[in-house]
Amino acid sequence: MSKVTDGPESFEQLEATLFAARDYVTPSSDLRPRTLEQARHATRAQGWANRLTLITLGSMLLWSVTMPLLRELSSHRDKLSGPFPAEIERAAQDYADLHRYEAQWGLVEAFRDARQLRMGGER
Amino acid sequence: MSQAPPLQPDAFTTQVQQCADRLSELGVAALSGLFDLTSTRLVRLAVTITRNQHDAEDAVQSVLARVASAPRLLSRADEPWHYLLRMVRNESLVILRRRRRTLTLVGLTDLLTRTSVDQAEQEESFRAVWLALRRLPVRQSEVVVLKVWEGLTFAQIGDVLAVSPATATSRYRYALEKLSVLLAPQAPMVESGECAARQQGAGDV
Repeated sequence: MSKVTDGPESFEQLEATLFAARDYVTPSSDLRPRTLEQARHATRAQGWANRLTLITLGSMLLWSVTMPLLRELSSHRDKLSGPFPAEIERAAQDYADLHRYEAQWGLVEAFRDARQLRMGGER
Repeated sequence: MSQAPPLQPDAFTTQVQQCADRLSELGVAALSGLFDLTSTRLVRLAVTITRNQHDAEDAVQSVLARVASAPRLLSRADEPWHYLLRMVRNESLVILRRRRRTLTLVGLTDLLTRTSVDQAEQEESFRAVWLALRRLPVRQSEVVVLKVWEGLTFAQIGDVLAVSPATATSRYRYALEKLSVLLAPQAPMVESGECAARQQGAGDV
């Protein structure tokens, strides 16, 4: 074979020799199944990673929305919630002691007061 | 001023684009089509860089698996085939740099070869070509592969290798000059299954 610097003919001849050898090396027979298996595995792993990312983002979004809402609700807690049972019980006992009647009647009075107090607050 | 008509993509490039689109639509189930279309070409490029079939197949396997998990990277690329070539080249270079072997096979014993009956007479010539390519620096042999076997223009080679077309041209020229000496009938071709001590440093890359 002559040197490439000899002229365009030898240049073309050399390229033709090189071109003819292009399919001499071939992939091994197990490359295909190996590649497909790795691709499936990688895709599955990617799917799990995507799902985990979505769940994390969703949780963060839910947290960022609910926390201010809960804080806002807790600031209105006194208006929204009624009297505690212990307070009612104490008021009922005070009525019963004051008017000398049974505790059940004291409870009725205590609830009536609490309801009036709440209605007054709403107005 | 008249403009030159845009180059028509060849059939192979179009097929790669179609495979990339299918992969994007259907997911990993469509990877076999892309593999069947490109694996031989990708392996021979990777073999030229890694100088070892096992490493070359690892590079191709890794790249195709990555493409399957992010298929839009390929389908949205301007030139999917060139993009794939670039990915395989980069992966091969990573493997080559990671591999710290000082002993490299000088022969072709690591390669899985195939010769049809009507090409049996040419087998010696094929072996000589592959051996000669292994004796070139990687930056020259990869240009030869892209130019002669993949039929790319120097501009396209420059795009794949991230060098200017002029650099690609000069590398090709140097490579052909060396190959013409190596493939001359009187040139001695060292081919043996034995390992020869050879530094596989970054300078060779």
